[in-house]
Amino acid sequence: MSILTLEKLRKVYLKGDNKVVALDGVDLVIEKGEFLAVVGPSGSGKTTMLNIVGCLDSPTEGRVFYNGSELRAMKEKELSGYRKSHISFIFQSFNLIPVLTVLENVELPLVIERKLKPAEIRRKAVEMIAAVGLEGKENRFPRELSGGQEQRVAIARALVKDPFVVLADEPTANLDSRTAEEIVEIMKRINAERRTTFIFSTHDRLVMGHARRIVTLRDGSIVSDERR
Amino acid sequence: MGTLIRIAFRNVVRHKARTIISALVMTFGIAVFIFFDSALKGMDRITIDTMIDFSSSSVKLRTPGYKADERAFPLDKGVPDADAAADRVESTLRGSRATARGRFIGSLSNWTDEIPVAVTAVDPRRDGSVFPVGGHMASGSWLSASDGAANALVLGSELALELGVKVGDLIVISAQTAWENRNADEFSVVGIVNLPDPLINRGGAFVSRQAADRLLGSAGFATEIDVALPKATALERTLADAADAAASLGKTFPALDADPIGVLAEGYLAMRNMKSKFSSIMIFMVLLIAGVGIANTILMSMYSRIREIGVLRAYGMTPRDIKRLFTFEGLIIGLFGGTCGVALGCALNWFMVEYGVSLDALIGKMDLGEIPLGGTLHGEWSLSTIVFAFAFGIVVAWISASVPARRASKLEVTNALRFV
Repeated sequence: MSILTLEKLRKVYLKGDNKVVALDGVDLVIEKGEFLAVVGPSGSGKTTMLNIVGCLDSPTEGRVFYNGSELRAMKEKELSGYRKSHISFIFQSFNLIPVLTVLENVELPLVIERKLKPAEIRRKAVEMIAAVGLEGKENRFPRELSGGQEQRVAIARALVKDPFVVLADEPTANLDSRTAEEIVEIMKRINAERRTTFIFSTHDRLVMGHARRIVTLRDGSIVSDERR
Repeated sequence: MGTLIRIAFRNVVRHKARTIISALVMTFGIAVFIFFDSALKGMDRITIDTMIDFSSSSVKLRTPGYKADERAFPLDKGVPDADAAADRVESTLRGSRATARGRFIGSLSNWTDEIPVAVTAVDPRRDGSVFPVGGHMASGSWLSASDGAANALVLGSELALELGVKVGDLIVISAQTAWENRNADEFSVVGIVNLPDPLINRGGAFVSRQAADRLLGSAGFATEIDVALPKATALERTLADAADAAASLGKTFPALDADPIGVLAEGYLAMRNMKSKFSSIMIFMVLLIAGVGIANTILMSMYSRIREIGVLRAYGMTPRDIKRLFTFEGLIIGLFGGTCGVALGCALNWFMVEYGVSLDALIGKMDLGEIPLGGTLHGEWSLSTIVFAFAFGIVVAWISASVPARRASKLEVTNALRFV
């Protein structure tokens, strides 16, 4: 069952008088539960594609469908609402909120979503922290954690609201290889257990080795789509 | 909302140095506002009380003719049957005291120098109940009922010094009589007063109305009826009570003009309004500087947290939420600064109310014109001023934070996430 469809996606940026084509006619269908890596050299359009898929940016041309609903028809407020409920992000630099504890960081997406009662939010966050192996660190602040632990918190934060899709932009780029392996293992385990769809951009061969599908971009176009 | 406030609060606490610096300016502004307002109110109070107690009284009744020609001190335009009028005032206004006074120009001579002064003729039996001058004797005693038969004189302290006289010495007073000729007589100095009103100290001379009648050739000489009302605690109440009493007396004495202290002191009150506006501008400037400080703090906070804004937006926070977040930070600084400002202002004010400041030490012999300012200046508590200062500080903080908060809310999510 496809949860995400990209049709003839094109994105053109204006830099001064010059037009920069970041995406040039991308067609892609993503099924629920995929563990998909988007790879390609710098400037190939990976981040632009993730931004559009993540409703953070809009395409210049083309269409994006989530579960059959076209995003283009949505206004900014609706996109924000869609993001709030269905999409999560994992960032290269973790980007945890430094003044919130581990528990509060993980609770944050549910607090923003405003659908659950505080007790239920707390229960889900504690459960998610345990799932990424950080029991006992709920009351620590990000500055008290290692890079790998921070990224685990970021994964817990991304998964706590059961999103349709988790978008990860180079999630292991700031980690050593051992920690990167652990992080990818966690993502894979959760993908297998919960059938959460993961789409991540990466340069890391180790991460690519774990992906079940690798989409390669070059100059804004898909040059290969390899399933394993 | 709770999470926004939590993030805002922790960010404010996290950047202690800049929070404290911004809040300190706010603290200073509000404390100065409370303190100065109290001092100005105290100054108003002391000035108006001094005028009521020693020169103007709460309400003054005079004939329209005398008022029109007041500066010439006419002797033929006084209040007829003044003692009966004073009795009638007391029966009209419950709790009031009234006395008749007459004023004339006399020359005081010590046989060497001659100084022209406005001599005040008083009724020794009643005057003390309206003007508590007798409680401020530097030496000797105030006029007594028995002094009516004799030519007794009480002088202001500086005037006595200028004439080089002391209690027991003789002074010659000469004046134009009611019959248009001049008369002179010897008066014995029975007392020297030192009042909070420097004008009286410099030029006050008091004789009994009986003695004035003998000197001026008049009968029952009185140019005004002075009325004392029960003391009110607040200045505004004092002014309002006097205005009500004057309105009532105006109806009882249609042939006389009844002027309340608000009219008698209108020159000072006009200056007080100007003074109040000036101090408001000054405080506004201080709080404006505090506002700029807060705006700068929030702006710095925003620039150091652009990626954080990107994350919050990516997770579904609306631009409105982001604006609220930074506005809360400004408000927390404002609340902190405002609370400290109120605490500091109240502490300074407590000292001012309890112990006061000696005006004589503060302004020395500075000539303040016709403003009777002297003695110890005590501050006044004003809940409305404290509430206003606090609320104004919060509004300034809110407005100051709104501008950078709006800027933060308008950041593009993708740009914010890329920001390094």
